[in-house]
Amino acid sequence: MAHDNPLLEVENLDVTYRTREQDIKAVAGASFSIDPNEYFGLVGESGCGKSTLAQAVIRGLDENGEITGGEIRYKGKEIQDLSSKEFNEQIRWNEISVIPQSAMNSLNPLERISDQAVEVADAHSNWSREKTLEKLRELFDVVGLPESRVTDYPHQFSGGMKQRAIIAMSLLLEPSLVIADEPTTALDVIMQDQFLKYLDDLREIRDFGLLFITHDIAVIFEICDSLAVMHGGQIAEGGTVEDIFDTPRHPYTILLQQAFPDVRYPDRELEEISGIPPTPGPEIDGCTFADRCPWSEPACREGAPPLNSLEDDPGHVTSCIRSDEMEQLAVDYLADRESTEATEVEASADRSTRTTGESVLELENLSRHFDPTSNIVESIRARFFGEEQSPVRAVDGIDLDLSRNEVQGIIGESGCGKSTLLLTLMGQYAPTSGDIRFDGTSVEEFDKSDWKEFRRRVQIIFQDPFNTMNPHFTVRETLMEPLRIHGLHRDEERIRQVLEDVQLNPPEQYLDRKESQLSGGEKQRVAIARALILEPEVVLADEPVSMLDVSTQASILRLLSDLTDEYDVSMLYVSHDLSTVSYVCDRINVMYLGRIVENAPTLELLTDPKHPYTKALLQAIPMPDPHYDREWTQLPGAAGDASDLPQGCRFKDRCPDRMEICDTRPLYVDGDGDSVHKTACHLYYDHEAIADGEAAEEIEEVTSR
Amino acid sequence: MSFPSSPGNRLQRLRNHYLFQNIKSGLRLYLSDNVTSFFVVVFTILVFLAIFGPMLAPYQYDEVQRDENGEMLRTEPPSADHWLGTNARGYDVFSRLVYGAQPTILTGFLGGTIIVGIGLVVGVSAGYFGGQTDSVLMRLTDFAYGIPLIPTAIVVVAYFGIGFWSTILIIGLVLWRGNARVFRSQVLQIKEREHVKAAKMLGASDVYVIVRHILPNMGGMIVLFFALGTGLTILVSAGLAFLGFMDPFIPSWGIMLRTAYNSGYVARAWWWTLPTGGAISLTVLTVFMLGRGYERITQADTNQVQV
Repeated sequence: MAHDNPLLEVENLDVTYRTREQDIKAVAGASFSIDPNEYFGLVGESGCGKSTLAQAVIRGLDENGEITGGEIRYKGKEIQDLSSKEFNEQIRWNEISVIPQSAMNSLNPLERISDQAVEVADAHSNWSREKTLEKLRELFDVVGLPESRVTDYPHQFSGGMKQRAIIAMSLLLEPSLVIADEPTTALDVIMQDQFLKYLDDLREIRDFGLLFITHDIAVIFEICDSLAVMHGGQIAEGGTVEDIFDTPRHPYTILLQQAFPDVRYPDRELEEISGIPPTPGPEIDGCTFADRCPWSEPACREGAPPLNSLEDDPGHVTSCIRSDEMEQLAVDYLADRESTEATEVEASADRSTRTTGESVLELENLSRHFDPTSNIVESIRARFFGEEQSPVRAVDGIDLDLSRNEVQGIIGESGCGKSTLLLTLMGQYAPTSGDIRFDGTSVEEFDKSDWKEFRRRVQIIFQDPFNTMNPHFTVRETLMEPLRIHGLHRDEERIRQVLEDVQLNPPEQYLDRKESQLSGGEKQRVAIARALILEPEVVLADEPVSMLDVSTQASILRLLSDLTDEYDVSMLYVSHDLSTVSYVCDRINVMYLGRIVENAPTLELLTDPKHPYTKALLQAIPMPDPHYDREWTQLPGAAGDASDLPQGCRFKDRCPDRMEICDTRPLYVDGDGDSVHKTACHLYYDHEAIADGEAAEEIEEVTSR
Repeated sequence: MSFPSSPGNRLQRLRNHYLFQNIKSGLRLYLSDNVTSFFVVVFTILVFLAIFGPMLAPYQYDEVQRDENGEMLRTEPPSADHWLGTNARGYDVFSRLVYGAQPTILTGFLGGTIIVGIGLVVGVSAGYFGGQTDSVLMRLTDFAYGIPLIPTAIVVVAYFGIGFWSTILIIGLVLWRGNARVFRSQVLQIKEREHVKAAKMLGASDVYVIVRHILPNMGGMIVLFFALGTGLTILVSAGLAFLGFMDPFIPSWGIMLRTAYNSGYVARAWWWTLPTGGAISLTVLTVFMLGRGYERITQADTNQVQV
């Protein structure tokens, strides 16, 4: 980190928000520096102050926020006292530019990209229109967009292209520093991968430093040179990614690393960090991590810990006062955990060898299409002129077999139909065709009381913990509700029991709390408790951890995994995140545009993926390891349009292994056959053997679909 | 544990009851805003007048005032005997003003109730059930939007005869339209929340979901629109009264303004018109502000991270 002329230096920065109740010190004594051309990552959980820090640098603080101490130096010059006019003229866009969090929505939809660029150039430079456009074309080329499209409107771009256009815009006036605040959080894994790829490529072509803010430590390890870890407004640790990865010296960094899922080791137990990030008060006197730290001492709470360099490595700083002992402490702690876990694992049923019974939920060729005609003109055209639009095939021919006590995952990009599938399973949508069989009975034959019974035996856990509870209900009322609806005995004892099961201890403390008095993780536990209180047979989980912090994610995942054993339920776990799915599921289905393209036991899918799409998904996951040299996925374009599907295989347009036969004959993963690993890809299909016997039947089936 | 339930003990239990606690903490939060507190006081006075006004008024509202010579006191300016003077018929204006609180506030509350009641039924059904129900109910609302309020009221009143209650009913039957739309959009938002979906997928009945999950989360909105409806009804009925389409024998404030106008003294006898107009405005403002205050605390309540 030591460099003679750092690009950006932040020294002892304090940022305070003034609120009606009290002042909140969101950033306390933060120091770090970014060298020219360095990619610097800032990582931490939500609420740790990382975004506030970035906003302080670019003058983007909310009105009640204020820099109350310290210095920000840009190229050696103090910039924290510049008036906003001076800042706009001298720094913004010219020197420091920003890639916003929701890049998708930050382009004005009413203006051509070129006009938006010219607007920026007019405001912050004396460039002519021609020069700006010239520059923009150049940058479009760099980020892999066709130069001719600079005059397009944003809606003409796909999501990924908008993302790249934003990168191009941010580099327009040749800034020396680009600040990216959670730019990949809202992206699918494959789009994130492409974003990172272009960012990485730019390093060689342009000169600029990058401040990359994210909660995803894997992304930082992958793309950045150095990083700082933040907790509770303090910098916990800083240094090069290799230093931090190899020899973390702050307990938060150590635990965070252990909490992060890694698809390479799906059997590793995830560490959970107890407690939640502290809500900062007006002054911070002590280490903000002390309350969550397994190694805290009384001294940790006496005075804010100084950020000191390690003796043997001046570039590696940590604010832990026990950093000298930390290496040994961590080794002991993890070894200790491993031994207890080993016995635990032996005691409980191992995931891979769990005995599974007969099937409880069977889907046979299940489809759910949506009619796209929404306005009068379209429906008139459809009715009188026969110009019928093809329906949106959200779910299109899914075969799936969920056995008792089995946990299956369904993963896919957003828009692949996985949420529609869940809602169809729950009876919110009637299937367009195909069949759902629950416990051997088709849901088509259900009458009203069967449905009620079904709704008792099949439960769902939703994604968003923040409105999973009625704000007017207490935890008690929330858990009472399922019993009330099903006319069961409203047993207070049962509620306490289920709260204990989801580890909300002691239950008395939680019973009377309302939604606003629970943290995100606690709310999700209540949601799980609500699903389990009726002792269901099947639980459907719709990305239950995607909105939680990493430290909480691990514990919820473990809880789900344990409870499926304890309660003897089967679970269908839907997510876009392969790394979390792999921690819970016995078997994973990969879904692409309404179809399942591969189905295999978890370990086998991770180690030996067959379908090119699965391979791409796996490859796109960033590894929380700076030494691991991952190759970028080569998957052109975005997922296709479910209302305009190509002939043959749906994936062929993006597939690197496309063959001639893919154009005509799609393959299906079906419920038949006993093979453990099913792949809907011609690469693994014995065409010779099929050609003789089943060919006729096969072709007929294809044409009829 | 069975203590003999002494009165003190029972009172203690009542105090500890969560409902009482809730109301107490709610009130404290509600009154934490100075502006709201002020209007609570004004409102209390208004309601007090509405209930006890007839007993408090120094004179009967239709009692002709005379001086010691037996002369009728016509449009006398304020004096010690008649705080707000007298009107053209020799009635005491202050007494009429005090009497007038009752019909005015009654009109408002009734109108507000009808407006919110119809608006809720239409809006919630349309938003919750969607589809055909939604189309039909919303076209009905669009139709209601096309009804010009005052002319329709005049025609209907002319047809059925002038009456106090019927006029309120007509106002309510026209003004629900705005509420219905807002309530519908509110329901559309709330029904996408996960706790609503969860309840539905647990097999809860529609009535259960609406009563337990949707209506409570519209509380602030309902109170605000009740306040708006109350204010609006008072204003419109005052307007109708002024035009002569309210029962002239019920001494509402609107009727007072009409008689002032008809007497031809409206510009000269300020003590007659200004306090009356002021009372109408103050009442409407008070009801609006109370609604606002309630909306403020319900928002604070749901947006707060930690209580």
